[in-house]
Amino acid sequence: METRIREFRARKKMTQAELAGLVGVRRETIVFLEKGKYNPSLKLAHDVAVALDSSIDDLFIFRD
Amino acid sequence: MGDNTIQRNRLMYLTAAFGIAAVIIGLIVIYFSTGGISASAAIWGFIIILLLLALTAVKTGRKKEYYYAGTIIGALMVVAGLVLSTLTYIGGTEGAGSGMITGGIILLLICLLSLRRSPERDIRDERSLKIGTWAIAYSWYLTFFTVIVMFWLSYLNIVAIDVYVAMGVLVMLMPLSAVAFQWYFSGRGDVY
Repeated sequence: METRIREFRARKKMTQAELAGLVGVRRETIVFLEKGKYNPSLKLAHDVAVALDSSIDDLFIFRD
Repeated sequence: MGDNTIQRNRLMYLTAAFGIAAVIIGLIVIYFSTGGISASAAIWGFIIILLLLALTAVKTGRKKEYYYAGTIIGALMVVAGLVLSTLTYIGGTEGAGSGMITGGIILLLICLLSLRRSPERDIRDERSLKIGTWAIAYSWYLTFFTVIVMFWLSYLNIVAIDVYVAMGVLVMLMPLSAVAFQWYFSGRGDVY
């Protein structure tokens, strides 16, 4: 899984800590999300998408 | 204070209450079955109750002042344990001194480590809960496997394992392996 969270976060000039605070998780969770090393729940994925004014499809890319 | 924190605190209070009740019931049973309570049993009971109260206050309060107070109490327990260990003329307190020292060190470690950690570590998000749950599960399986190995080693007379060694191994293995698995999965990012 790849994510575009870092790209969308940079557009909004948001730090990882700020995004973590907005969605109610630890900063390290955002770190691993951006690296594509953590599979979030649907709720967290939705919360991150809302926080970044984006959609889950735009943020998370699954390659078979 | 979030719902998770309130729930966690309630669980801590409940655990402490059950622990203290178990100690008191144990002391009552000892009193009625042996006609008295030895100094050692009384001191052990005091150590366990003090530890439970201190750890509950520290873990639910989560304020720096509580951690400092816990550090001081832990240090005092270590000193008291050292003094008790050297006062051999107080009969019936054998082992209680080392118990006091162990309890004091546990409290010291928990409070000092808590003082060092960042506030973010207090946030329980879905990832930390998932990793914690799986780490405990892996720790259980490892401990179970170890019990099986120790049983066969002892049954086949390959290694003579007495009950105290076996209990000591299990008491140390389960929490240490849970922490180790938690550290490992945290570093990887997820459980997979």
